Amino acid sequence: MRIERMSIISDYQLPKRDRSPDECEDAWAASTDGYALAVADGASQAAYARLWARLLVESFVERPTLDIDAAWVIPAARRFWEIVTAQLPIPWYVAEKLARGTFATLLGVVFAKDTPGFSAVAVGDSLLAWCTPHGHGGTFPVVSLDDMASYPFLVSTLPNCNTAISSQTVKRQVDLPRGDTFLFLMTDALGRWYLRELHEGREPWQQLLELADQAAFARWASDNLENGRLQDDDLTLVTVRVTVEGD
Amino acid sequence: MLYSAEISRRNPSAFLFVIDQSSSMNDRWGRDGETKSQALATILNRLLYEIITKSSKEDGVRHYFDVGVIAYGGGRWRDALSFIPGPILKPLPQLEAHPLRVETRMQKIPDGAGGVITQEVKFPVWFEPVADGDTPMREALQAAAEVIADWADAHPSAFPPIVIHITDGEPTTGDPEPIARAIHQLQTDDGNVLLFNLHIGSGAGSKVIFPVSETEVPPDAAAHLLFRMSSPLPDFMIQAGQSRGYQLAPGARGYGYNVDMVETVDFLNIGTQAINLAR
Repeated sequence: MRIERMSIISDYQLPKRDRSPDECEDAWAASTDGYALAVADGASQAAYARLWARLLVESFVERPTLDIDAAWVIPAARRFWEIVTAQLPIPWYVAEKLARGTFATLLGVVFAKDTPGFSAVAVGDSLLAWCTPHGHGGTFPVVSLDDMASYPFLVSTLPNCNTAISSQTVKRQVDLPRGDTFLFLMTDALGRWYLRELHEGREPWQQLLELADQAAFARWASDNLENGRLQDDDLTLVTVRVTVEGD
Repeated sequence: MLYSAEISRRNPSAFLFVIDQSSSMNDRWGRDGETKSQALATILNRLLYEIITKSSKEDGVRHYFDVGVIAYGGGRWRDALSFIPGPILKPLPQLEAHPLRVETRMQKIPDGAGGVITQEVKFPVWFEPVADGDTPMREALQAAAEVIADWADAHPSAFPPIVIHITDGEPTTGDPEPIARAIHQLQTDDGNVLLFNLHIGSGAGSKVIFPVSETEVPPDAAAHLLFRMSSPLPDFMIQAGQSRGYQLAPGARGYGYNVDMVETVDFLNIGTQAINLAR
């Protein structure tokens, strides 16, 4: 068997309530051939969190790897500081925030080209979920809401904050069955919703697959914010359909 | 659940500092030979620096809080930030835009590859040390009560304002306790206004910080007065204090007596923990 077809069937983003779209500090990217994808969630307390998230996902799809370590981060960090220092002088409070570091989660997925499967790597609490023709496939890097850390380890623009990255990285390899598998890459607010739905015996992937477009996603998110099932945070959802066929 | 309202640009909260600037604040405090007023000015400026830093993004300072400082001494109280236009409680971006003066310092910024770039940065100062005259604590707290009452009326859904009072002595112009009780009664939909009291001392004699019961307070009338004037800490502040190593029990008051400089910094960081709730 092998992956016959693969496509991103939707990508949705929403900023926190009452924020403009350019204030959303999540980012996602896909490689040109679609075999590598990543999402990142910038820490809201930091400066240039959106930029850092974008640089991380772009780095991942350019250099996909399961071995995320301090050395792997350096090119993205160097690019970050090039962009930021090009804007000097900056206000004192921005300089102070930069000196404290900018942080983000990183979730990467790499599809195998010769076998039907994918590998995933995660730093922090962005979530990958997947459903197969048989139903719930799995979640990664955690399987329950209790496992979502209140203060997850994050990738930093400061080299001295990344020395423990490789020990904080979670990796997994997954074989895909014949037929269609849907993968959902999401940042943590959606991830918490997804895990809670699973815990309560529902099939959250069905709700996500029914979202026809960004407007439907926005209505769905608004309803779930109102009923308290979704926390007010930046939302990112990238859905990938993978078809496995052959002998 | 109380003390859980969103703190945001749409729904800001408030900090009001009430600072003793009577003549006894000229006394030496700590090991470096600074006076209480000098050390407190440094501490307060760093706190305002921190509040602004945490409330900012690369595109500017977010209006998460209104901030004010009432100083008292020399027979009167005053708006210690009167050089900033507007009422006593001023939007945080206004503090950033209008420091009293600015010092220039060099700051190192990493270049991402293990090196650093050195940039000249501004270090703003808003509060200068003053120490003069008697201690009109009651009048200053009355002014604070009026400011906070008006603010709470105008912001009914806000996270409750926090008043932090710092003194080194006893009131000289009347009993401030009824005023403190009146401040405790002020509220928003999210809970009662919080009034914390900190007595900074020489370090000699008994001290207490975050007590639960008045029985824990040293046998001093002023110490007991300030305890009764102090609100209990909400849960998130208790957790913040515990994470800093303080043994805080439920019901612990936002109160410290005869504290030193380190405890003052901790007290203020715990008392302004709401900064970390803003989004």
